[in-house]
Order: sequence, then C-alpha cells, then structure tokens
Amino acid sequence: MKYPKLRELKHAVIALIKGPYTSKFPFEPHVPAPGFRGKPVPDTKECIACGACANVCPARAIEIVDRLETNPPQREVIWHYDLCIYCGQCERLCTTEKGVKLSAEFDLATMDRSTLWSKIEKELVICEDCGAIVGAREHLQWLAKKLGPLSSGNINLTYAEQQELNVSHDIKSGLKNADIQRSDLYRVLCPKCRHLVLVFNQTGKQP
Amino acid sequence: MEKDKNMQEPKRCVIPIGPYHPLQEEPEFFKLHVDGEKVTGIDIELGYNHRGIEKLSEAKHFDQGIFLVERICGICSTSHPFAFVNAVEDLAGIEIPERAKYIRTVVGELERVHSHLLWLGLAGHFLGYNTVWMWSWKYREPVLDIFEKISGNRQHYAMMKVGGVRRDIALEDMPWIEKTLDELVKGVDMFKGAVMDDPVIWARTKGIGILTPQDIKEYGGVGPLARASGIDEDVRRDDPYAAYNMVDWKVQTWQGGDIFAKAVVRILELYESVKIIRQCLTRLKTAPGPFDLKVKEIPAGEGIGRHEAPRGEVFHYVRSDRANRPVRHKIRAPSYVNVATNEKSVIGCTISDALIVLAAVDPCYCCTERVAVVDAGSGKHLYNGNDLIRLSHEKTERLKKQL
Repeated sequence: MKYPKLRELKHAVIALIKGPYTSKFPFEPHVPAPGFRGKPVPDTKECIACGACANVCPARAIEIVDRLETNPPQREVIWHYDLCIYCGQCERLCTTEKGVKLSAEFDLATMDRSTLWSKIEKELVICEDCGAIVGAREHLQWLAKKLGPLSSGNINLTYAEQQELNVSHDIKSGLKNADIQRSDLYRVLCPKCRHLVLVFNQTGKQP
Repeated sequence: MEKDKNMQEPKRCVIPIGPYHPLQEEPEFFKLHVDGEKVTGIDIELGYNHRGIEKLSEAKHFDQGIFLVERICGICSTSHPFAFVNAVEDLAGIEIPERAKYIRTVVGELERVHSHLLWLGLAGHFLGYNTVWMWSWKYREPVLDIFEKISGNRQHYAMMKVGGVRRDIALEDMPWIEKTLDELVKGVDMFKGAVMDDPVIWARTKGIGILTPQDIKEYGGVGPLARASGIDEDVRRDDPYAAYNMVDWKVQTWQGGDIFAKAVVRILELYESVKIIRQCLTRLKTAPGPFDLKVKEIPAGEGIGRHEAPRGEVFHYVRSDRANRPVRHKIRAPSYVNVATNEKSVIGCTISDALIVLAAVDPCYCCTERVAVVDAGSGKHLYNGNDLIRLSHEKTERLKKQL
C-alpha cells in the first residue's frame, strides 16, 4: 500500500513544479498547429463561382443560389459554417485551387446561428435566346485562359475573353428570338439553343 | 385533419437497417435486475442511436462516404473509414502505395493509443481513482496533439481516402512525434505499475465480470475483450492489411477474462501500438513514392473491409454498380457484439461492481449514465447512473481502509 502512495506523491510534486498540462483557453488564445482544418474562408478574387465545392461537400454545407431576377444576374456561393464539418474537401478540390482556404479559426461558437455564413457573389452569363444559365463569367474567363488558343472554337468562351479585354458588346440577355438565323451562331447561347441553331433552319425544319 | 393527410401520404416507410451504434454518445439502455445487492438479470436495449448511416452512405460519393462513416464514432474516428477504404479497395482491386500503407498504420495505431488511454481514465474514474483519470487523459493529450499536427484535427482526422491518404507526414515532424511517444511510454509504464501493484485495484478488478473463452465464442466477442479471455484473435494479424504484416509486433493476450485482464491487455496493446508507430515512422523516412493513387473510377462489384478498431473488429461491406456511390453499404461495429456479453459478465456481481463490469467492454460512459437499477421483486427503480458511480467509489474507499 505504500508504493502506490509514493508514486502519487512523486507525480504530485512533478505536477507542482511543471504546472498543469491544460492551457487557460478562453483567456489565452490557442494557436493550432499549421495545417489545422478550421473555418473555410472563400477568396473573392480567386473564386470563380463554378460550384465544384458545393458538389463535393459531404455535409452539403455549401449552397449555390442563382439569382436571375437581378441585373446583372448573380450567383451566390454560400458557406454555412453551422453545417460545415471542416473536412477540407472544398479546399482540396477547388477548380482554381485558391478559391477557398481553411483558416486556423476554430472558435465559432455563437448564440445566433444565422450569422454563421460567408458568401461570394459573381456575375452570371445567361443565354441570349432563352435566358438559361451558361455559367459564371469568371468561370468562362478562367476556362478561356486555361484552354488558350483552343478556346476560340467556342463563342461563349471567346465572348468572355473579349469582355475581359473590354472589346465586346454588352449581352442582350433573355431576348426571345422568334426566327433562328445562321448568324445566331455568333451569339452567347446555352448548349440547348446552340443545338437548335446548328440543326434547324429559319423555318424550324432540319435542312 | 393535418394528421389524416399525413396518414394517407404514400410511401412513408421506416427502414430498419443501420449501425445500432453503441460507440460514442451511445444511448444504450441497461436495466439491471437486482436481488438485494446481487445482480440477477440485465436487459440491454440498443437502437436509440439509429441515424440511418447506411442509407445516408448510399447517397454519398465514395469520397464523401468516408467523412460520413468517420462520424459514426467520435472516439475511433479512423476505424470506420479504414474499414470502408479497405472494402472499396477490395472491390476495385487497388493496391495502395507503400507510403500510404505506413501512414494509414500510424493513424490507426495512434487512435488505438488514445482510445485505450481514454478507457483507462474512465475505468479509473468508475473505480473512484480520479487521479488515474486525470493522469490518463493528460497523457492522451499529446497523442491528440500529434493528430492535430499530422491530420489537421484532434478528432475526425480525414486521413483515409480510397487509394491512399489525404495528407503526407512531413519528415520534419517525425522527430517531434517520436519524442512525444517517448514521453507517452513513460506514462504507460506508470500505468502498468499502477494496475499491476495496487492492492485496491486488484481487489476491485480481479475475479469480477469474468468472461470465459466459451462465453466469448458464444457471443462472438471481439477485440481486447476476447484477447483478455485468452482468445488469440486479431484482424491485423489474421487478415493483414495496410502495413501490419510489414512491421514486427505481437498480438497481446491474457488469461482470466476478468476486468483486470481486460485492463492488462489494453495496457500491453499500448506498448505494441507505440512499437508499430515507431517502426512505421522509421520506414516513412525512406519510403519513396506517392501517398495517393488518385483513383477516379470504382468498378462494379462487392468488397469487404475489416479493421481492428480499438474495441475489436469493425466490418464494412460495400456493393457498387459502377456509379460513384455504393448501392449497399453494411456496417458492423465491434461493440454491437461486445455489449451483449454483459449478459454473461454482469450477472452475479454486486451493484457496486456492475458499473465497472459494464464499462470494461469499453462502450463509453454515456451508456452508464443511462443505467437504471430495478428491484427484481417489485420492479421499482432503485438507482440511476450517478448513484452507481457513488456506490462504486464507496466500495473503493472501504477497501482502501481495510488494506
């Protein structure tokens, strides 16, 4: 019975000298190790609003809201931190690899859940004919840049590229065109409308 | 009216599948039937924690499903992903790179270390040794720090990935990890002493809650529970995966099947785990190659994956139809069989021993906080979980004075 007591005494003395292992957390900030998976912070400059993160998020914590009624139409990418599981999939599988980064911030406790989000807003390019979404403008520009000379085969990408250089006209979105014309090939169209232009003639019949 | 509408709604059904998962915040419910001081019967009710994980998994990609099964249990949060990736790799016939094997093994064994330390602490707490509790959790803390450094989080490491691991272990982190493990071994030495030569712990744990090898076979008990009864079984050795057949280690068994044996097996396993981690880290310093295969497609087929979790064998079955989600995902966790062995071990004990007997399975503590003691004659509720902890503490105090 003596030895266990002595051992306890020894560790009590060590604890007295070394002090407690725990830190005084709320009063002293805790600095996590580098590479810590904390709150994901989107980067307004680097994010292209492609929505890849929303597709890979296991917790469905990233929401994509397309607002077609605003002028110009907007896409909102919203990170809901109350649903987030801090797995880092959005960072790992980001299209540009820089659009969102996990920060070291972990202490997100709050009384008001509705404050736990952050948002990216990007302009959408919509089909000139039917008004369907073609993609986020910066996403098209990113694609054009990545494809380089190969992008010139795609009018939507060329348009996006030209607009970045300020040499393009403003898009007249959502004008329902009654007659399909060959020249429609050089307008910004969604894949469905482009198919119509390519396959049918003015009378609506296949040539 | 509102109710009627709901009643008529078609296709409302309850699907009775999934892990009745007694691992983490498990709402298991034990009803002890007692006659005076003696426990005469026990009702175990499981299924309070049904979250439909298996059904949810069918809606997640193979890459996302890992995060889902990781959250089955908070304490062994790499066991399920480990078994899941083993199953998917079995299905797809993938052989992961050497480096990934070692990293997976390190993560799996670090988890065993922290889980066993957690159990040691809780066992100490239930016996009335709050000092042991605090010591044990103090030594567990550096292990969690290692996790934070190598995976980015203390729990839910998100390291597993089909075809490899998500993060590499950097060369510059290794000396620090090895140093932390050295410190840990000193702590484990102390625990070994504390269990082996403390007469009060002997009196409280020896010959109590005995599970014979026959009981283990009848109930299908796995993990440290089975090894404490002298049954030499371990998935890591019997069906090797990751790097377990590439390093030198031994399966630890002990005879007796009482709580003492269970504690000893767990302490001895701590040494083995540290040994495995050390060897893996040494090999990682020179092991070349990628740590991830970047698997893009999962073929059709079915596969099984097993992993020796800290509490025993965890089993995953995955069936795929070449889509990017499993069409069936079956999970069996070790505690599901281990908890049932309480029927054998707890009957005949006194109420003050019942708590530690139930806890020796290592389900976790939430279950014991839901214990109700029912008098066998009248069916009246006598004690709740807190009363049992108090009774257990009182017995230890009594023994301390006697010795």
